[in-house]
Amino acid sequence: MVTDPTLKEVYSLVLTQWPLVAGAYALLWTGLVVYVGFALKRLNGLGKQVEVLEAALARRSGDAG
Amino acid sequence: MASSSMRQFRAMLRKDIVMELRTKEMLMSMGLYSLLTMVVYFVALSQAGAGFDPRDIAAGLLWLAFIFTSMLGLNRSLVHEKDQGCLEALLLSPVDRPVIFFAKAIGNLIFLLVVEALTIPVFAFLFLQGQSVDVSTVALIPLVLVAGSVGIAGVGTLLATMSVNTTGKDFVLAMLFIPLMYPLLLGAVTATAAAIIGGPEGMSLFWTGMAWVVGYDVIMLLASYGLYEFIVGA
Amino acid sequence: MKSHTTRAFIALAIGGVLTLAAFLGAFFWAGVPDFGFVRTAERTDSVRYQGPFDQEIDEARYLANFAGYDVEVVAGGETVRGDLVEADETHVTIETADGEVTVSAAEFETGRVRGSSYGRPDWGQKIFYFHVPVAEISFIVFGFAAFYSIRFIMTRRREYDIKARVSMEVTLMFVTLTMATGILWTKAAWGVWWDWEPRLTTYFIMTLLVVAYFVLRNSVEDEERRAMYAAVFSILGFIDAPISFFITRLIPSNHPVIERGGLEPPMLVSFIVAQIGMIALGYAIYQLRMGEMLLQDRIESAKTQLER
Repeated sequence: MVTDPTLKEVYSLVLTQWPLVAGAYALLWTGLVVYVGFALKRLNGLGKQVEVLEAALARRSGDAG
Repeated sequence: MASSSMRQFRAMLRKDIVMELRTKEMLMSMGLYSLLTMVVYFVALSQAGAGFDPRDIAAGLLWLAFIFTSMLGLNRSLVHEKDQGCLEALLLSPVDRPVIFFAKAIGNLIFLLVVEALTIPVFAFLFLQGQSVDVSTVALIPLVLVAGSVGIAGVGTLLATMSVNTTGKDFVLAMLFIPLMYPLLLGAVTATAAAIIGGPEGMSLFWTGMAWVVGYDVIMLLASYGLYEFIVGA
Repeated sequence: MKSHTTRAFIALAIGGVLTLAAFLGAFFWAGVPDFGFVRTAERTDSVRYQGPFDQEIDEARYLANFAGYDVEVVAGGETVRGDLVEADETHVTIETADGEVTVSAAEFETGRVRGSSYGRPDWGQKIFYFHVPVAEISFIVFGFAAFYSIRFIMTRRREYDIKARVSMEVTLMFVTLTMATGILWTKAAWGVWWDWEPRLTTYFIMTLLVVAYFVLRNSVEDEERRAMYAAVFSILGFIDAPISFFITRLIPSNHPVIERGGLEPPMLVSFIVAQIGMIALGYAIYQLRMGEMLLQDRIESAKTQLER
């Protein structure tokens, strides 16, 4: 506990500002990570779909030829 | 070429005006809409108290009425064209695209100015009675009205041509229109408010506001004029 | 396509390392700047001690806030020095070595106040290291979106529409992050969550323009028409954003600007590293989304071929 009035005044901004700073960084990083994470997940799913579809396509063209 | 464009332009403008004079649909709907806005203003200000000076917010209220009324009018004017197949017919005919833009924009500008000219006296009658204003500076307000309406009609015509082909017509128009109009609105409200306040300081603010509005008009109208071709042909 | 994903991963790695480095630099290397100062009568501690202050005062009432400070007052040709007991617009009372002395305000000629000055640390400034780069990137990517839109209008090739759309998505992402960090910073520095202040207002308008772009895209059914409308709107929006930025100067501002050479090296380096890292991350996100778009195209074409 800071009892000295000066130091109390000096530290008052630190004490009130830290949740905002932490919040800003949390929002920034969760935003970026979640966005990239979802993009990667979708990309993965699409990659698998493409493989299946193109394999099917190759089989079919193989059957035909 | 120039004279034939001029002829086409005049014919299209005449068509819009004759149709309007016959049905009076747009002027009626816009005029009544602005009257309804006044009722809403009265309700909004009913608890403002006695110390409140309506001159302080008159400029903002006026432009608020104009912006919503103009959106209604823009939407209607292009919905008509689309419903009656006019736009497709025009595109098939050998009319220059810029001519279509100018004819539509000037038609909209005329209707908008008529409605504004009717709204201001009604607004003054309802809200500014007994308030003293400097007549010499208030006389400059028509300048702002014309400059602001030119921008609204020009950019608005382009945006309304887009929004009539979307699924959520009026909402899409508002969503595109209001953010794009923000600089013009801020300049116009600043100039109008300065004209109402008057005095030498007010005058310098008035001309700053006017310069912004005119600058916005020049840049955005050039852009709209250049881009209209792609919109109307798409 | 493979190349997009590869590029995305390389950019992601570079961006990740750089932003992490910038984060560490911002918190453990760069100092905390002072945000105003506190004055005290005595020197209590060396924490953020800025030095003594010694101020000249020309009217008695200005001493009102300095009770307890070491003051020196010249009144009626005499100098009185001691601790200030109280002061207002009528008199000044000082505790000297020989007891209390009261000087009337009419006699007051000049005075001095002495004490210590302490800096108040501005922790909110830590948001700046990432808030500013993210905001800058949102402008840059918006510019790319407008550029690709112009290319689309010129060539009418679908790839430019996709590029413009993906750029706009990245813009939306960064605009959202800027708004979020900005609002928290506003609370930290100004004590309010929102203020209709030029930068904030302009940025809000830009956010609305980006949102409007997607509203427009989602409400047009025909694909070619959607591409053309979106391209035209993004160009208009990109012209409109700077006008909004400058016109808002009609409203007085208190948003800080970085002065040239105003940052100490540790701060500057952390800031620049954060900027480069964020550019890399923005590029990575762009490439990821582009890869996704192209995969979707491949799926579509494979499906149509299979249905045949």
